[in-house]
Amino acid sequence: MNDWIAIGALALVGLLIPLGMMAVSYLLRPSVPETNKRATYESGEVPTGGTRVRFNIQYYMVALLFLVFDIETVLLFPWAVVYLDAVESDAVSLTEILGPMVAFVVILLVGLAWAWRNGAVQWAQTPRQVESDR
Amino acid sequence: MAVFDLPGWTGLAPALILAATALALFVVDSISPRSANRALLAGVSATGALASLAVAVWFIAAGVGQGGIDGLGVIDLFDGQFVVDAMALYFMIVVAVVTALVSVASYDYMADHTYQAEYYSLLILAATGMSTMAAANSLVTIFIALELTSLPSYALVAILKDNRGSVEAGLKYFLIGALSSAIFVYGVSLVYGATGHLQLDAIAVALEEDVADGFGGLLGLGILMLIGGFAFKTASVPFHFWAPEAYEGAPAPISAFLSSASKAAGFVIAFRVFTTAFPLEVTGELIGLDWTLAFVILAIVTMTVGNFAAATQDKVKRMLAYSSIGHAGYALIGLAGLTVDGGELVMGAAMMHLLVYGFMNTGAFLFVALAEYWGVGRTFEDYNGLANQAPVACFALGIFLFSLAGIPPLGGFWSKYFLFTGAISVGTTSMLLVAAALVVNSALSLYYYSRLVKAVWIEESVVDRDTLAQPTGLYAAIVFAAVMTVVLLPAFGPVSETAIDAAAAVI
Amino acid sequence: MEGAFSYAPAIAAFPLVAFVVALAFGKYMPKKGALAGILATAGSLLLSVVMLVAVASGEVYHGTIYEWAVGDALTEVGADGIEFTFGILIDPLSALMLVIVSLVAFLVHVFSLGYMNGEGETGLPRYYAGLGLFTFSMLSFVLADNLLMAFMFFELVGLCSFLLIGFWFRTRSAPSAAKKAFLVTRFGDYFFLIGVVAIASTFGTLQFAGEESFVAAAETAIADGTTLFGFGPETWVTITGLLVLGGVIGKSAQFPLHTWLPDAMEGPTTVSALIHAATMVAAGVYLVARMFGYYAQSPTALSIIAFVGGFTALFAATMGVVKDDIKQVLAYSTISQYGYMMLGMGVGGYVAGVFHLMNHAFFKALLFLGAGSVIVLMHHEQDMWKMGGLKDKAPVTYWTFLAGALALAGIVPFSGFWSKDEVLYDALIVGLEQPVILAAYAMGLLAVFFTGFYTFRMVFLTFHGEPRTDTAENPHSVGWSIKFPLVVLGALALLAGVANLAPVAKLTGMDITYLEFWLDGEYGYVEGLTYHDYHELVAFEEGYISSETVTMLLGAGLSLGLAVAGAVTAHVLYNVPEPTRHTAKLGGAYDVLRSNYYQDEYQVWLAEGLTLPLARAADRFDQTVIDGVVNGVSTASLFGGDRVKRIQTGIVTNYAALLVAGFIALLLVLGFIGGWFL
Repeated sequence: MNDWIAIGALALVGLLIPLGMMAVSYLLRPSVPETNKRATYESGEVPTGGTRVRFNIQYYMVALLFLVFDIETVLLFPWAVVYLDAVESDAVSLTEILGPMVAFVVILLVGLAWAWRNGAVQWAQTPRQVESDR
Repeated sequence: MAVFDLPGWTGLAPALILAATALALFVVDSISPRSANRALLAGVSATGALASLAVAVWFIAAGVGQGGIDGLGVIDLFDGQFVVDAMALYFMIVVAVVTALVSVASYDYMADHTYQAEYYSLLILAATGMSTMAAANSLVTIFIALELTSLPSYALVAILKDNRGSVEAGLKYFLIGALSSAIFVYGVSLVYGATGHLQLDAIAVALEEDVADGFGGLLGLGILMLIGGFAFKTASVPFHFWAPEAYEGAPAPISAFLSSASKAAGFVIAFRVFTTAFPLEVTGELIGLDWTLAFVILAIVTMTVGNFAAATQDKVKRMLAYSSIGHAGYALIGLAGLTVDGGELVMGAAMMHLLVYGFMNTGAFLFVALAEYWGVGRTFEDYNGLANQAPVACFALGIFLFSLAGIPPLGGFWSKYFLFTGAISVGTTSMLLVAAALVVNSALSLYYYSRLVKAVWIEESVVDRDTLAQPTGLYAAIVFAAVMTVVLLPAFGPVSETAIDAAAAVI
Repeated sequence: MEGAFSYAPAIAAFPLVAFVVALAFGKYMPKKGALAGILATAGSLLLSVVMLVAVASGEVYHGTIYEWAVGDALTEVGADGIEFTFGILIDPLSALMLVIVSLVAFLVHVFSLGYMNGEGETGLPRYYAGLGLFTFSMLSFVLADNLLMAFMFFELVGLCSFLLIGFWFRTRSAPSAAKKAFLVTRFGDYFFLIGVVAIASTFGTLQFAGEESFVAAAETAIADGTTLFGFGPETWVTITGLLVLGGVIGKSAQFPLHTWLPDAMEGPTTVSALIHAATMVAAGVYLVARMFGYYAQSPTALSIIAFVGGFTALFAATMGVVKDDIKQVLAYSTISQYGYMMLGMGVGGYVAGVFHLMNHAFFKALLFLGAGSVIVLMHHEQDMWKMGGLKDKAPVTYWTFLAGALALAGIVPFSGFWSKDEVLYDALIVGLEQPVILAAYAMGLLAVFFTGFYTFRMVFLTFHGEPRTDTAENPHSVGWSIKFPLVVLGALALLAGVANLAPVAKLTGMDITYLEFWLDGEYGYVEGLTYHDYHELVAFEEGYISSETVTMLLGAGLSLGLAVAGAVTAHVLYNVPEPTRHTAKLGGAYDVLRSNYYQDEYQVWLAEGLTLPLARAADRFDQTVIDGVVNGVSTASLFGGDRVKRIQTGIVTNYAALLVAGFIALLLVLGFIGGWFL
């Protein structure tokens, strides 16, 4: 027997089950049209607008910055854990332990400084404000 | 030479210098974010690129990556995650040269634009990625380098924020790029699944040791997906869709950068992965066919699509974009022509072609940059009669175009000639087919290249133009590229030797 | 003597410099470039004599100057590389030829002072530049050590003849004659080129001399019996030899490619002298002598050479009988005399052929220059019927011309007798065993009579009798520059025979056959290029009538008798105060001879009736089919390009879809081939 037949059968079943459930519920359910059913679901709160809201672009900016420094922490944490043990052992020198991480942090600092200086953390400036600052 | 005494990680110096340059640019911009000292920024970028070039040349001259008595051997870094050999250095040189040219040319081109510092730092960051790619020796580092190249490229294409074409091109580039990256990563995971390794040599060893027995289809699919990733980077059909639009929408120096350096980087990584990780014989037994077949198909389709589409374009930049796709097809011959017991000749030829291409294609795009700087328009008609106002630049353009078409005695002829003879010497039916396609497409390419030459030199101008400015940076870059296109030909002996040696070393 | 040979390239280079000088500065120089040419050819002559002396002292030279292409090539005999070079070969043959060529060129230059400058011609820098280039080409051709280099300069010689024959390009006839000379010789050279390629691809070398030569390679091939391109080795050597012979026949004006030569008389007479005596026409025979070792290996080729030579000798001599123009007579005599040389070469008489080549160079240069002198005397009148009685008015011209005529007719003891007799003797002894050669010999012998006749007809009509026109009554005077070359050449025409008095040597037993010793390696020699090497190669048997001496005396007596008979006939008919035409006696033959056996007519028909329609058909094929295909391809390409362009819709979702579709297509193809889905 070819393996692919089993795989194909699985794919077929996987497709049929949800489709079948939807079809069955479509056949069984009572039809009561109502506007609230079309409203946006906001955990029970009264919805304040549609789903297609425009977010300020600076949310993304903050999110990006957060992501960068979050990952930095992820890398720093295990390094900090093994740091003392590594210093005590003679296998590696201090520069070899400290050097890469210092370089890493320096690169991040340069990035942070640049973002800061270029106004990435300043909130909500209209184009006119940016223009007057320049 | 002092290379001996340096610690191993300095082997990556060409890439590290570029990274440091990018950081320096950020520092410069942090100090005075609101005033753009263009000369300083362009100067720092060009200096960094040239320093990287110098170090790479020095390494090659000192014998890094060469075996034997005077050679210093291949430098292995971080447990084989990176490798600095002749091929890596060769492509670091290509990248550095193109970066330097583009930096110099951008000085004039970007004169009235905002985001100067960002432009240069992104440029250098992308160059860092390409340089790193040349040395990457594991699927992980390859992917990281690939992304380090791609992300700044997306931003660079879209850097003309007020230009709809630029932004649209950037977005398209990004979307196709994301799709291709996804395919590539999937491929990486499949290869890992089949062999249990990410480091290229280790994959080869695993294949030799029959670890992947029974996973032929899986491995094959993985390899094919890796090919997809490289095809995106090198703008090969069918992953080329981003290229015409990105090249057309992007600032012309960036088009030059992407179509030359980025393409070269894509090729080096393809060369390395396929020569190191997937030895033809073992892999062939596993997946039931030679993976060169994929490249044969890609090469033929790519050069045909690129050249045919270029033939009927109205806009110069778009024509060059398609021609760049065509040239990717030529360079793919380097992989298509690999055989179990050789192929260094044809791969060396492909490497040579990429070097020559680095000059002639960059030069051609820089001429377009010059035309955009003058504001003469985008179509062939708009270029009519430019030779009257700017004979030097137009002469250089003639050199670039004829070299791209492969007219003797220019550099482009020789690299194509080597590709052709290399393909013939392999001698299989499919390679003869590839060689035939190369000839037919070159002939066709002469048509549209000479169309541009005709427009510039022979046709009368449609509108009356005033005298055109002669921006120093752009002119210098164009003239230098033209001189190199010509000078490469007496220097072809050493170049071809280096390229073929480098190719032989990895095979 | 290595030092002397290092100046060898200068022999050819001097005239080249003269060419450049005359072309660039001739206009501003006092004699319009003549002096540069005279100096250059004098230098060449001097150096040639030095070479001759060097060879006489036992040295030879064979060296490569410049190697312009080296290639890997698998040739038919298995040599795996080929080199194309420029090199110099100085052996007895080429040293001798160098002296002949440079001497004649020098004298022609001097003569030109009187003939061209003195007559107030315009365009003189062009003339002297042409002469310089001509001399350069011929000297380089003589120096050549390989067939390809020889071919190149052979072609250059042809080009120069084109330029010089058409010197008076404003007339109607000169350009046409120049074109004819160019095209007819080109027709022969076409075969020559194929021959060069054939030899190169067979043996992988084009050298004339040494271990690496194609001659030696051919010898090895014949010895080993190697099959070459599906032929036996001897057959193949014959074929390639005959292909090269095509060039010789064209240049040396042998039947049927002789038609250009009479027309070439349209050029200045000095040019005719140069062409006929030392350069263009001589080039063909020299080439045969140069690669004689190759021909010697093919009896068939030799027989063809001999037969063509003998036939041409007779054929041309008969036509010369009825010509009125003094230069035309000389032109046909040239064709005829080169026929003798070919006959000599063809029967294996290498020495005889070269001997006649040398003697002919002197006396034919003399005759042409003499004719030039006559033309000057006659105010550019060339019709012999309008001359007469010039004997007393121009004694120097007369006596020297007479010496040349006696040599041409082959009257003892003038040089022409000795060499022509040797040619005929060699032909006779081979002919006694070979019927074909005997036929060639018979024709050659018969031609002797005609030669004697037309030569003296020319002499008597021109110089004897009463002056028939006013100009003949009061001739123009000639200067020293005309007389000097005539005297030098007159002396040579008388004495050059001393070089090889073979009959005398045989009768008396004295060792005075110097030329034979010269060519046989008594002095300097190159291995394999000597007379006895050749003689061993030639497969002809020789026979004698009773004994060698008797045969020789018989042959010599016969030819001398015929020559004298011809001269006497001319004397009877034309050496009268008022000679008349005797054409009526010839009857219908006169028309045939007058029309040169209708050779031109059939060749013109070949060109117009056969080649032209063919060319038209080819043109139509090119215009319709070929161009149609080309245009179709370009249309199809552009159409295809237009379609391909449309894949790029501009909508990014389409791209993604196409990308994935393309990827899946690739996956299906590869997966299907690789069997991943099983």
